[in-house]
Order: sequence, then C-alpha cells, then structure tokens
Amino acid sequence: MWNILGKCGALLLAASLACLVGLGWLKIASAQQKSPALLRSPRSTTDSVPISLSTPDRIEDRTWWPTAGTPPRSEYVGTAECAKCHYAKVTAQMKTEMAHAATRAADPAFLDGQPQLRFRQSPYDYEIGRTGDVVVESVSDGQSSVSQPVRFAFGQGLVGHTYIYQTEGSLYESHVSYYSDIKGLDVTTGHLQSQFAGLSQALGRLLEPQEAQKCFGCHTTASTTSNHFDPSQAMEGVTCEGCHGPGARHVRSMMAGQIARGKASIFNPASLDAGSSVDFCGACHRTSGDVLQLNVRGVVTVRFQPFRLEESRCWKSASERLTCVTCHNPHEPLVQDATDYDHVCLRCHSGGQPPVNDGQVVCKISRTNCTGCHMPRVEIPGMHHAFADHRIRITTDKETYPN
Amino acid sequence: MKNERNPRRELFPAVSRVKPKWFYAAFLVSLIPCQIPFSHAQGTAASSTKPSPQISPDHLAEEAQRSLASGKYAVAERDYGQLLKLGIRSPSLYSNLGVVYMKTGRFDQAIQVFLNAKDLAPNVAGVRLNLGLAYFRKHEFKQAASYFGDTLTLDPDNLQARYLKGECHFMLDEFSDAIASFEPLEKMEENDLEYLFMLGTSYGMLKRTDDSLRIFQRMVEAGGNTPHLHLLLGKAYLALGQNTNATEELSRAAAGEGIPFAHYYLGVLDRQLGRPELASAEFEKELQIDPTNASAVRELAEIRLDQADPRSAIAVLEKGIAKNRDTPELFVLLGRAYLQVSNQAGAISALKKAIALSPEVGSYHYQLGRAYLKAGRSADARAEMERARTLAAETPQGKMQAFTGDQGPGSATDGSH
Repeated sequence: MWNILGKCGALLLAASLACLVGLGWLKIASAQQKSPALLRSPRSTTDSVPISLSTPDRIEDRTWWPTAGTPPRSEYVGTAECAKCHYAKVTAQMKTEMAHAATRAADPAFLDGQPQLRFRQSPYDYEIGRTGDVVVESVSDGQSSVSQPVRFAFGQGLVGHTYIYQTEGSLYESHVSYYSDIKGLDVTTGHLQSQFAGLSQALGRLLEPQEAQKCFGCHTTASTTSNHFDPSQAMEGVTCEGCHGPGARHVRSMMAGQIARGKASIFNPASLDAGSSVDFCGACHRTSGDVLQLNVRGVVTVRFQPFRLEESRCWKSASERLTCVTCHNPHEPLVQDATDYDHVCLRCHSGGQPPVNDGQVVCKISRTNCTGCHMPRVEIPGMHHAFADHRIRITTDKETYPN
Repeated sequence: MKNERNPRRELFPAVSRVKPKWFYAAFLVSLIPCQIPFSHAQGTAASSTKPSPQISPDHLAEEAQRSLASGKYAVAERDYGQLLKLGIRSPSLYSNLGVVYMKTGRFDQAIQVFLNAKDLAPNVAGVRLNLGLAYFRKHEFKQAASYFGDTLTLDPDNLQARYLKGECHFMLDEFSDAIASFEPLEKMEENDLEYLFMLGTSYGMLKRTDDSLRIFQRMVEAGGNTPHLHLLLGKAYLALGQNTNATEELSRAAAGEGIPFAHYYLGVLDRQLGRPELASAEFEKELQIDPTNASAVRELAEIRLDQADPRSAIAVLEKGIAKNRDTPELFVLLGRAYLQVSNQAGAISALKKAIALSPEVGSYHYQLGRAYLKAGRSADARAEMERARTLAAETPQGKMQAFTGDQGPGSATDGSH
C-alpha cells in the first residue's frame, strides 16, 4: 500500500514540478514575445549618459544606418527573400504599423472602407475617391476643378493618411489628409495657409526634391539608392531591409554556407549600445541630435519619441537604460493596451521584488497602468490624435508641456 | 540656437545696398546735442573728481565731439571715457560713446551704453532708435523691431524707425507685420527697389497676389532693365516658389558681366531642384565675380560634402575662409569636412574658431562635441553636447526649418515623423 502511495506521491510530485517548470517557461516565453530585450543584459551599466547624434552624422559614421541612400538597388532583395529563412519574423513584421507606413494607390486596400471622402474649406471643396484602379484627389472652387491621381498614401491609419501625388515630374503633398479619430478629412498638419493663388496650389504643396527624399526615406525602403532618389523603385513601408540594410550579400553568403560572413554582412541593431540603439530608431522618429539641429520646440516634439525618452530620468540616471526595444518589439504590431507595459516599469520600480506583489505598494494612486499617468497623452493641435509623451515623469495637474 | 538658415536672410543676405550708410547712422548724429552744460548733467558725488584746470569738462566734451565728427574714434572714446571718470553722466554722453562703439563695430558695448542712456532719458525716441540700430546690426531682428516699435510710440512720424521695423519683420518672416510697417511708406519709397522687393515679396507670401503683382510692376517701372532689378525680381520669385520666373529673371541679372549674387541665386534654385552639378557651376561662377561671397563658398562646400568629396570641400573652404575670416558657418563646415577625412585635430580647431565667433549657437557646440567624441575625448564631448542643449533651451521658441529641406511633422502618420 505504502509502496503504491509512495510511487503515486513521487509521480504526483514529479508532475507538479513539471507543471511549475512549464508554467515558468510559458511566462518567460510570453514576456519575451512582448519584448525581446527584456531578458537581455543591460546595454550599459556606466553612469555616463549616452550622447545622441543627429541622423546625418550617424549615416556619415557608418556603413549602414536607416535612411542611408548609398547602397545600390541591386543589393536589396525584398521581404519575400527574407521570408525563405525568417518566415515567422517576416510575417509578423508585415503586420506592423511600420510595414504599412506607405501604400501605393494601386493597392486594393488603399481607401478600403472609405470609398469617397469629402471636405470643405471655403471656398474649396475637396474629394478623394477611387475609380477602378485609380485614386483621384480633386478640388473645386465652385467654378472649376483640378484633379490629380494619387500615387501614395503615407501612414498606416492609426493616426491617418496623407496623400502624395505627382505631376510634371514633381511630387506634392495633398492639402487634406484623412484622420482616423474623426474618420474624415481635414487640413494636413503643417499646411497653415487657407488662401491660394489657384486651384493647383489649393490641391497640395510642392515637395522639394530634398524634402521628398526624406519623406520617402522613412516611409518606404530603398527609395534612394546609389544616392539617387527614385520613388518608383521604392518598397512600400519599412521592410526588413529598411532597418537591417540590403540583404543580397547576406543571402549569397548564407546560401553558400558561409555563415560567419553571412552574419557579418547584415546589420543587427541588437548589437548597438543604448545610445546608438535609441538613435537608430531616431533615424525616423528623431534623435535628440536631430531635434537640436532642427531647433524645434513645443508640443510638436511629442512625436519625436527617442528625443523625449532621452529627456527622461529613466534615461539620464538609470544604470540599466531604457531603450525603445525595452518596451516595443519592432517585429510585432504595437501593443495598444497600456497595462501591458507595467511589468517593464516594475523591473526597476519595485525594489527588486517580483512585479505586482499584492503586499507591495509601488504607487499611491494605482496598481496598474503606469503609462497612463507617467507618459501622458498629448494632442498636437490639428492632428486629431494624442501621442504618448515618452518623457517619462511624475506629472501634475497643472503642468505645461515640459520642453 | 540662432536661426542661421533663415531663408529670408539668404534671399537678402546683405544690409541694403540702396539705402546710404547715413540711413543707418543719421539718427545717431541728430541725437547728439552740440553741448550739454555740465551743470545740467547728472553726476555721482562719490565718483566725481575735480577736473584738471587745464582741461575743463566742457572743453573735453567739445574735443570729443569734434573727434567723433571727424572720424577719430579712438580719441573720442578716450575723451568720453575721461568724462565718465570725472563722474559726468548724461544721455548724450552715453549716446555719443555708443556712436563710437557702433562706428568701430562693437555693437554689444554700444547696446550697453545706449541702455544707460535709456535709463537716464526713457522718453527720448532717438535713444530707442539707437538701440534698435545696434540690435539690427547684430542681426537680432526681434529685439531691433521691439525698439523700433518703441521709437514709433514716442515718435509716430519717424520714417526711419518705420522702415527698419518693416525690414526686421521681413527678415523674421513676419509678413503681416512687415506689410503693416511698410504700407504707410509706399508713396515716398516708390522708387526704392529694395523696399518694393520686401513689400512685394511679403504680399506674395501672404497670397495677396494682386498687391504683389502691382508692386513688382512698380519695381519694373522704377528699376528699368537693370541687372539689379532682375536680381531683386528673381529673388522675389524664388521666395514665392515661382521657379520658372525666378530662372528667367536671375538669368537676365547674370547675363553679360553679371552682378554679385545673380549666379548665387541661380545656384540656390538649381540645388532646390536637385541639380547639384548645375548648382556647383553657378556657385563657381559667383565666386569668380565675388571671391568673398561666403554664402557661395558655403553652398559649394555643402555640395561637395553631399557628394562624399570632403577633400574638395576642404579646398573650397580653406580658400573661402582666407577671404571670410569672420564667418563661423565656414569654420563649422570645415570642421565637418575634416572629420570626414579623420582629421579630428583640425576639426576641433576649426570648430573652436566658429564658437569663438558665435559662442551662443548651440549647433556649433554640438558639432564640436561630435569632434571630441571622434577624438575619444568623451568628457569634453559630453560638456559640449550639454552646452548645446542648454543653449537650445534658452532660445525663444524655435521655428521649423521649413526651407532647409528638413521637415518636422507635416503629414498624418502613425507618429513616425
């Protein structure tokens, strides 16, 4: 009897231990899915605050950096090639907002669910709609009208879309954009004027070549190659090669079995120190160096998340420095539930105890939703959207935008 | 940080070539009374000393006045300094000394003594005008406009203040305010091409097309078929984005022997349109006409750097700096070029010179910080970066560099730019 009980007890104990191990593994795997950097060693344990550089300086200093336009077009292979070996990661990345930072008008999903958009800014009436394969933007002043076929929409739709059209070899930014929060058109951010010399001006704003190159540089991949800007050759959105650099050499080496060479010929942002890592994302999201050079101040800077993060005490005084990938996985869609980020905060702000310990009070106000208070959402006038301010801080009711 | 790439300043880089020098100095002379009896001057008992019996204060003041009028500024400065040591304090004394400083290019010192004059004579329009001029010469147009505004409050008929206030607003892209200042002067300035240029461009920037065309037509009538007229029209069209008209006018200005800045603006246009080779050729032609054109040197060097040819950029800059030793932007570019050829020591030296010329420009400190970083001097780098951030925080609200080709938030996206 006792032998049977002993054996059962042993089996029960083993099963229990197995469950515990399994649960532990699941917890780690789940956490890793949220943030691949969570279990990685801190990038820097020095007391020195990393120095942020501007993106042009980063490009100048390195063989590869996002938005660099020097590699030739022939060195880009496209995501389908990447997916042959990295299928899971590629298919996940293709669902991200960054992957949809730009859409060609020919794409059937373009204006999906929005067959006809209208907007009036007296005396002008705007309309954006699809006719077959063509999406057209038009403006009328009641007497005559002007139309142009839209080439691209910039923006995945979380905030909205801005439309790009081309005429006589020049690119234009539409005067009106779609804003998701209002489910309709309004004046494009930055377009302050309401009086125009003619309908052509009312339709949109000319993008000078340097400006257009920068817009496409972030919203597409390989729009500039061999230092030549040609949007017709661009891959829509931020694809694998938008961050990791052109993949042709990597593919050739790996296919030839030259593993070490293959790994060396593709850029791995995980190898960057904390300061460089944040500047890496800042190539499009604006580094502190970029903001310094631009001399931009005010509430518009809330959109420059790397810059705002580096204004935080979490950045300046942390021994284990927050980077963008501490909270965000660039291969996965943006996590929208604010409480999903609590465990990251509690890594440092729980006195070393396991997170969300019932017996421990970390905050007098709340047990969850750290970012709701400490990263308040700020709306930029005219954008119909509130952005989370990445300058992490203790907020007060009457504070003005810390600049 | 200063807005070093103000497009309006690029389109109007020099102080007016039409207005005579006295226009920017006449107020100073008219302000100085011939003599202020020292029995009326305010003095401080503590600092007053008895004048030498050989040289009375009155006589000293007369001598100083004569020296100032005849251009002997060092002598005038010495004599006014002596009067101050005697404990003499008066608005005119400070103003006169300020004139000396202005004449010798020491605008900060001029501002200081003009402020002393303002404290003693707060309701004298000419003192405010002095201050406006001093800030104007420093290209601090915001401050200058404020003092010109004060002048007009005290003296509404002061045409000089009104004109200069309009010019300040124009340089600050404040076109509504520029028009408000300029419009009352239209009748009397109807043949002043640069006035017409500023007014016409301001109308154009506010899309008041009919007014703009009217003023440009007036320019043609006043200017005749002269290269200077075509240059101004070309600049105006360039500012308004009318590239075809700009090319036509600037080409006319550049025809024949050409005048300074005609090829320069053609180069600016080519560069905007993404034609760096053509732009280079224009800047080189500009430098043949005017080797001291620092703006052309800067543009040409930037093109060379964009083309990943830093050695060529260095050659252009070193030649340009030899003729423009007081232009900090050239030293900054030289520093950047040196970094690209791994000459950190040269870069640090060049950037320090830029900072010595303009210590309040944050981006210069940023570049020096970058040079220190490359040289392995992390502590120095960090100090300079911090200085850059401090200067950025101290300046008034920055403006978007809309014309430098680098846009901030402009489109509805998912927060990516």
